[in-house]
This record gives sequence, structure tokens and C-alpha cells, in this order.
Amino acid sequence: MMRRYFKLYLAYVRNCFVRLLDYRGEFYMQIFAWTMWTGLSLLFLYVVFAQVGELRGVTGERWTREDMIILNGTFAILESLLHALVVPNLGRLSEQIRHGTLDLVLTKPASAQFQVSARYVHFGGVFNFLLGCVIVGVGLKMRGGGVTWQGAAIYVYLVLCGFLIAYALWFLSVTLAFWFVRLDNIGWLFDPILRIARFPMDIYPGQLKFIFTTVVPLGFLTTVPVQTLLGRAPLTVMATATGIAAALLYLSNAFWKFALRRYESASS
Amino acid sequence: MPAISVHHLRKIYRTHVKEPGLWGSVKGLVRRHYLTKEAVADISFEIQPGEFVGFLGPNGAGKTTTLKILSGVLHPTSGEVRVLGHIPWKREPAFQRQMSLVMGQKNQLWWDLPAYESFVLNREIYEVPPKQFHAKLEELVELFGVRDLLHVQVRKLSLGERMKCELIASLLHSPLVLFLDEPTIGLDVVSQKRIREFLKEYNRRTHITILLTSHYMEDVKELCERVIIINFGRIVYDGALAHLVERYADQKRLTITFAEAINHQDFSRFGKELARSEFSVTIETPRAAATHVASEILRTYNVADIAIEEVEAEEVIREIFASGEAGTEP
Repeated sequence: MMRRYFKLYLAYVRNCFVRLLDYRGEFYMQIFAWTMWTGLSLLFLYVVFAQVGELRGVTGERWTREDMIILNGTFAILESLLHALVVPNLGRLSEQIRHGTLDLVLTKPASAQFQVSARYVHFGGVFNFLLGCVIVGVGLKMRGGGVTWQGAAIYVYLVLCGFLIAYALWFLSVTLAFWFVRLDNIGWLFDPILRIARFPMDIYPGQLKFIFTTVVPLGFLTTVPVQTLLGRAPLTVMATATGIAAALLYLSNAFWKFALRRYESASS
Repeated sequence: MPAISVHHLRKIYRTHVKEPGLWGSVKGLVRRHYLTKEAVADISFEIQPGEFVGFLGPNGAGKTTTLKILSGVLHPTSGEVRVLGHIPWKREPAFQRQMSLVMGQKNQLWWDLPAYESFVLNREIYEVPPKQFHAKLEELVELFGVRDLLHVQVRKLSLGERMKCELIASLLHSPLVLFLDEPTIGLDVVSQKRIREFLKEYNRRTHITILLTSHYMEDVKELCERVIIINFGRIVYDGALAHLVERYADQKRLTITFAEAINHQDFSRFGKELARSEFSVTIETPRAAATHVASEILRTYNVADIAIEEVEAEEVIREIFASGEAGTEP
């Protein structure tokens, strides 16, 4: 089963790579745009920290400039993954519903959610991903103090959970397109929400923090992985993150199936 | 066992009515008025393995809806359907591996890629073993004559070439049942004809069961021995195309060319006059009287040529649509 979908995914990647060779200009433009994007956000960070020494959260947790660099690097990693793997697919869903190409997806012997979620890959995000890794590395070096291999492995695992959480939340929102067919712009709603994760959750006041850690668990996208990397969070967050990711993935699939049933009985 | 069996299929859509203007749209956000539309009223038929059946009807008659139900895309409101023994809308992989849906207006091939890349993708989706994949691809490429097109981006292909590649993509997993929704739509006459030839040949070779919708009469006339005509969600006729004309057209047409100008001669005693030129006239007479009338004319006038023709199937169908008459072949 897993092997089968892995092979299918490779075929998608192969498709996208062949296309890439044909549109190299677009590829370089993407790399350029994304690098600028990450560079500007680092510049912003520099300007802010030229004025303030550190961010102090409402709980009293302190975020130094180095911590913030690591957090921003993590955000760049997460964002590049989403823009490479998720956006090109979910951005097309409402169009697929409107044009009826979803019909063809539904006749094929593979999970429909997988088909609409994994079809396209944008390789332009790869460079930004590497850049994010470098930023995290530089932040750690500036900060000094050792990071254990174990800590790094948990960090990678938590970022992966964060990615899955973000995907599931995004998928849940684009599935609404079955009810509101012209929902091309939902991505624009999700982007600013995502940007909340650019800052540590501690800086948001009580109620907002509650919402971002439980209702819409944005805290698990970047804050929790970085806290773990810096040794400031208990290892139990791994279980919590895994649980949230699994629950949201399940929910996204259940909601998708519910929406499909409506599509099957209502569309023409 | 029939390949496809449909009993009392019914499908009702519920759509909301949008009131005109901006205010109407705003009101629609709060309270919606729904309209139910019966796309398929009550349809029953069976198709045997290897049959090539044409599904004819005007726009909005329920053809595409029926096809989507049969291929598992839509749930019916009520009725029983079996395709290869499966209930289509359960969408079991075992069913999906054995059928294909091709829609003339919706493409599965990726625009920016050579068709071959999309074929490889389908190989993975349908899990076709590499050896079988290559043999099948070879067979189809040969049949469709598209060897040179496989590695050209789909966007650079003509509409007809694209449809050939769409068909190949949908046949690579060797389905037993093929649903075709308007496969020749928008194609020029030559491409239409070629697509038809391929389908016919493929059906003959593999005994694949094909259900084709079209509103080009030519498609159905050339390909299908059996037609199912549907109008307002009901079956109006189900049987051989040849019998359709005999059954519904009780008139024949005589076109007489005279050796001299006919001026103002009156032919009304032979039947209804349809057209007239300086030397010829076309008359419609009851089927039974046609030979008698012909010999009468030959005796009376100086005739250069006479032709007795059936009414075109197309016209018969148009009349059935207009009158809404129902009937099935015994």
C-alpha cells in the first residue's frame, strides 16, 4: 500500500520534473522570488532586533535574536515545503470542481484525496528549503551551546508533524470549495494565518495563544519544534504533535469524503 | 451476464435559483430557493459484453448524467445499476481497474507534457506491469498511428491528435468497459471519421463493451448497431438503428428528374411536394404506396431519373424528440 503510493508519487514527481525542463525560466524566477522573500523577512528581523534586545512572551519565556533567527529559518523550511508540495495542488481544487476534471479523478483506482493533494510539485521551493536549513544552522552557531543528534532528530520529526498539520488545516479549508464553488482565493486567507507561526506563540496574549495552540494548532508548526531544539520543551510534545497531526489528517479525510458524497448527489 | 444492467434509474438534482441583481445575490446568501430538476426520470436497459451502443439525445436529456452514474462519479437518487457485477458509485478499485471514462470536453492528459508522460502516470495509477504496458502501448500506437506524437507536448497537438492520445491513455489498462461522452465533439469531419474507425476496430479486436453518447448522428450511425434514444430523462427508443427508420418513418421520398422542364405541373395527387427545380421534384409519399407512385410517374411523364429514398435517421430522431413519443423495439 505505502509502496504503491510511493511509486505513484514518484511518477508525479517525474511528470513535474519533465515539465520543469521545459519551463526553466519559470523555475529560476521562483527561486529568485523565494530567496528575496526569505531575505526580506530576515532583514525585518534584523531591523526589529536593532531596537530590542529580546522578545519576552507573556509567560516570561525569552526569545533572543538568535532564537528568533532559528524560528524564522524553521518557518522558511515549513513555508518552502508547503509552497513546493501543497500550494500547487490545493490551489487547483476549486478549479477542478468547477471544470469537472474531478470527475476523471474519481474514476481512477487510487485515493482521490491523494490524487488531488500530491499531483503537482514546484521545484522552485527547493532552494528556499536549503536556505531555511542554513538560517537555522547559522542561528544555532551564533547562539553557541550544543545541539544533540537526538534533539536534531526530534526537531526534524516535529517539523514534519507541523507540515502535516498545516496541510490538513489547508485541505480542510479548500474542501469548502464543494459548497462555495468560487473559492480560488482561500489560499490568500491561509497565507496570513500561516504567518502567525513566524513568531513564537508566547508573544500572543492569553486567548489568542489558547486558540493558536489548541483550536488551530499553529504553535505546533514552528514554536514547538524550535523550543524542543533549544531544549525548552518536554519530550511529551512529540506525542501531542503526533496526536494532533494524526487527528487532523483523519478529520481532513472524513470531511473530504463527506463533501464528495454531496458532490456525487448534487452535481451534474 | 450482461456487462451493464440498469433498472429504474432516477437522478434528481437540487440547485439553488439565483435571483437577478446584486441584492438578489445578497438575499441568496441568507435564504436560498431550491429548484429540483429531474435529469434522469426512469431508465432501464441492459448491455451485453462486446456491444457498441449509442446513446442519443438532445442536450440536457440525461445522457451525461447516466454515463457519470455508470462510471461511479455520481450517486443516483434511486434505481439499481450493475457494471461488470459492481455497484459503480461504491468506487471499488476492482471495478475502476476494469473501466474507463473519456469525456470529449475534459482532458486527463497534462497540457504541458508529452502524452507519453501521462501514459506512464496511468501505468502507476492502474498498476499495469511494465511488460503488459509496453505491449498495450505498442498495440494502441500502431492502431491510432500516433508514433510520432508521443513525445510532443500535448498543447502542440491538434484537437484530433489529442483525442487519440486521450483514448490511448484510457485504454492502457485494458478496460472491459469504456464510457465515451461526446468523443468527437469539436473535431473536423476527417478527424471524426478516423476516431470512429479506431473505435470500431478496437471494439472488433478486443470485444470491449462501449457506451457512447453523441449528438452527431454520424458517430452512432457508423459505430453502433444499437441505439438508445433518450429524451427528458426517459428512453424513447432502444433497438437497431435500421429498424428505427422503418418503424417511425412511414414515408418514403421520391426524387424525379425529368427530361424536359416541368413548369407548373401539379404533383399533389402523388403526395406532398418537398422541393422543386426546373427539371426535378421531390415528393414524399406513404411507404406502402411508394413503388406504385413511382411506376405511375414513369408511365405518365418523360422521366430521366428516379430515386426512392428512406427518410434520414437524423430526421426521424428529430421528430421523435419533438413529439416525445415513446416506444421500444419488441
